[in-house]
Amino acid sequence: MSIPESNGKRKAGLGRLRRGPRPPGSVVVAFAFVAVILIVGFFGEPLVREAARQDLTEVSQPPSYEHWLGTDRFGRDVLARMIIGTSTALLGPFLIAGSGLVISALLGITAAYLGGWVDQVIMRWVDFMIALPGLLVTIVVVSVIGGSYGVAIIVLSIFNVQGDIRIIRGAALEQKPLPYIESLQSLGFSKSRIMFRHIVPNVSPLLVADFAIDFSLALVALAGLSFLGLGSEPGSAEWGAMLAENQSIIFSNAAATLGPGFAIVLLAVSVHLIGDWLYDRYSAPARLVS
Amino acid sequence: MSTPMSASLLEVRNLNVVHRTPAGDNPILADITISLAKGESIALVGESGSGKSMLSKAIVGLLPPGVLAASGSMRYQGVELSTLNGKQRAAYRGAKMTLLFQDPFTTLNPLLKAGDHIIEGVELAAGRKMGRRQGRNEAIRRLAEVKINDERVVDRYPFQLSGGMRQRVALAAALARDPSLLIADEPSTALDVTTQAEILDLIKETQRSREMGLIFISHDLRVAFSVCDRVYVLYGGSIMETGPTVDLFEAPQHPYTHGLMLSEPTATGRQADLYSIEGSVPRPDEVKDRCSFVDRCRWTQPVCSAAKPALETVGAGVETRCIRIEEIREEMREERRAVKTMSDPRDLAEDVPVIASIRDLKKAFDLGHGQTVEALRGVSLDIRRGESIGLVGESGSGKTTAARCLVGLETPTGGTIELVPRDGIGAIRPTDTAARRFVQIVFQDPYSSLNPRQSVGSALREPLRLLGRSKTEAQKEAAGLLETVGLPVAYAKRRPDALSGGERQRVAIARALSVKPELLVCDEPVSALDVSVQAQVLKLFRNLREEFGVSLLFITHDMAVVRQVADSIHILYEGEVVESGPVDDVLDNPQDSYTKRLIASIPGEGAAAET
Repeated sequence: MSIPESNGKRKAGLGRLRRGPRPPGSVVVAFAFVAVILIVGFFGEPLVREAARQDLTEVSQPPSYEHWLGTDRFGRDVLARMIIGTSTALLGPFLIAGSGLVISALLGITAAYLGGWVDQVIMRWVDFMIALPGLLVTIVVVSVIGGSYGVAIIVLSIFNVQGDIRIIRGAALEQKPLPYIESLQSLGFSKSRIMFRHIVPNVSPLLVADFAIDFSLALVALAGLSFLGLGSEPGSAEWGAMLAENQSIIFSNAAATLGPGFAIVLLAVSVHLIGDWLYDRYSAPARLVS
Repeated sequence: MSTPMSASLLEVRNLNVVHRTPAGDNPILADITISLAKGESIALVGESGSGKSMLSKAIVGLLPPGVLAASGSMRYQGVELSTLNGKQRAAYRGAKMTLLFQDPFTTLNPLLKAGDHIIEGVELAAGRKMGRRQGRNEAIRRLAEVKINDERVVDRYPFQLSGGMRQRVALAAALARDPSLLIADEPSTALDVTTQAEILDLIKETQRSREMGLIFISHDLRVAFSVCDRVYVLYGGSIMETGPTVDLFEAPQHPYTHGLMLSEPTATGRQADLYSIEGSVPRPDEVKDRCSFVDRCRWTQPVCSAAKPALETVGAGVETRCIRIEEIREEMREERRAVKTMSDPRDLAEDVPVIASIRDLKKAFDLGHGQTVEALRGVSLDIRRGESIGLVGESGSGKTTAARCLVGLETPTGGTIELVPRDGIGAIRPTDTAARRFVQIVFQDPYSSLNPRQSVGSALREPLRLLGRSKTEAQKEAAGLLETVGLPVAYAKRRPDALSGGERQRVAIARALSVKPELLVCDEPVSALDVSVQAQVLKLFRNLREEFGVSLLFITHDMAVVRQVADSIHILYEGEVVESGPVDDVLDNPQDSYTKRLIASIPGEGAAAET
């Protein structure tokens, strides 16, 4: 067996910086878009609160200099309402994807590393949940309990995490028999230390990619629920709800319904692209030609 | 090329292969000139990164994307290969020149029977389909050529065959279209020692009987010497030296070849001083305008880094790239003589206490469906304080399982293991917490032995911190450990991917030493390393014993390696110890038939005499 012998001296300094090529244009655009959305989500609301007021003298106006995306049925500025809805649009998917990341890291790695009955219990539960039609159950639960954003987030979180657990378990199973893990075992390291200090960093590219995919899916799912009139209070500035309620004025102001629609799609695609790129970048540490 | 050969098969002249990047061309092979006559066998020898495999890919036209032959010529039977288009080039592959790869486990299609691999090629060569019976008979005939006389093998799938059998089938498949050139890329490296010898003989024999040209690629000079008429030594992307095998074996004309030959430990005795080449293999672009070996050569002078030396003829068919060869030839000869000085392995005093005692160790693995495989069938051995024990066997002998049982990574199904630490707490078992400070293990593959996301320093400090050392103490001790294994303290900041294989293995050893174990289990710790680096690590093991008095259980398949580090050895075969005793007694005067076979198949010892 022969493995390329690399000369370490030079890689240490320059090589680490050079690691991975510069991001492609699409990813740069995606980063810029997400950055704008984040800024708007954090700071936008106070600036546009005034413009989002009802003004029944100016209902269903097409885009103009005063109203870039026109107004809705109540004369509210569509762009202003979208800006107000940005923080909600970010928060829900963030919580869902975040819970997916934390829980899948905990349970996926535990199942893989401990194996045995722990693995059995966790994975049979995962199998069971995957067998359930998630969106359907969500719709039923949300419509029975009542259309609150919080409930939607919780139910979607519960249904989101199973796939992540499977993926992370698979990745952790790959790490488990590697000599570096066995060396740590023979050094007497505790199980939790090996799992969370050593395996987690090595499956982190997958965690990041999972987070991005979960985020986009959750964004679309939440918007879908709002569109159905579930998962958000009526009248709240929520992208999916706006997309639904502004359909009725599509012929007087198409931008009122297309605007939120595009925002959802662009944010989902951007996060996805970034996640994909991060995964490629960090899962291939030695891409230099040897 | 100065070798006057009547019918030239392949002529490569001044070939330059580069990796083309937006930032410019990185050289991979520089100024390669080789020639191969019909029926001749040549070896391309080099360590990893020398460019030897890339050269074979350039010849068959299978360079990876972005890598191209930038200049130079390759003529095959008089046809300039570089002028051919992709399709014409493809017509050469398989039909006129063919490749045999290292790993017989992946080169065969798992869904095709052995016979089908061969018939496919035969039909292609004939340009027509064969009848079932006719094809089968042809496949049987072809298998007989590679010494498979069992007709049933034709209908076997690759997974039903052993490694050696697979490599034979792969050879038969490669020869199916009766090519005039066989390129064998490390064809025996993935095989067991005894199988390796058989495959090498087979390749040599087939090449002679078919009068094929053979390009034999190897990292192992001894193997190359035993197979080929002429040897090209590659290093850092250029040919350092070439010459007829006999001449090279007698007197290498380049310090690199010289160093490489001396770095290979001998199986005939314990060398008093192991020879090693310091440093590691450079990348071709680092040495593009100087001698590739300049950083590691002990005879380096300013003139060596002034420009890339050209190949100079220094004898009949012998060329070297060393410009100082006339001045240093005598010194090199002197060094070769010195290395042959042997010393006796250490004799331990009788009263040295036993610190690990394995009795009747058994381990069976459950394969499911009620099937089990017995990896160990009752192994007993004692390890005394400061002793170095070699555990030798081929794959499947159970040697790794024994090691894993000893460090508690595997639970035996029978027998006992007693460990007796120095501090008098009495006998403990490998799975006890106390055993974690008593026995440590070093694995074969340096590339997965370290957490890729943890710096070297952190990897060394972590176990120390867990033992209760303060931050500053741990830092100091970690620095001390790096020094112990011969690495600069600044390496603490590096990640594993910035280290070479040998350096990683040193870090793995340092980490194992961090808890001050009394017994170090080494599972093939040097077999994944380049020869020139292997000797460095073997030296390190010798030093560790002398400095720290640590006992070693050294697991290997390599007789030469075990000879250098062990006091006594146990030969393991199919889960049982078939022979054991002091290393000299066992290797010089083997009693068991398996041991004899193992020793007989050591490549290269006295091989040059044969050629």
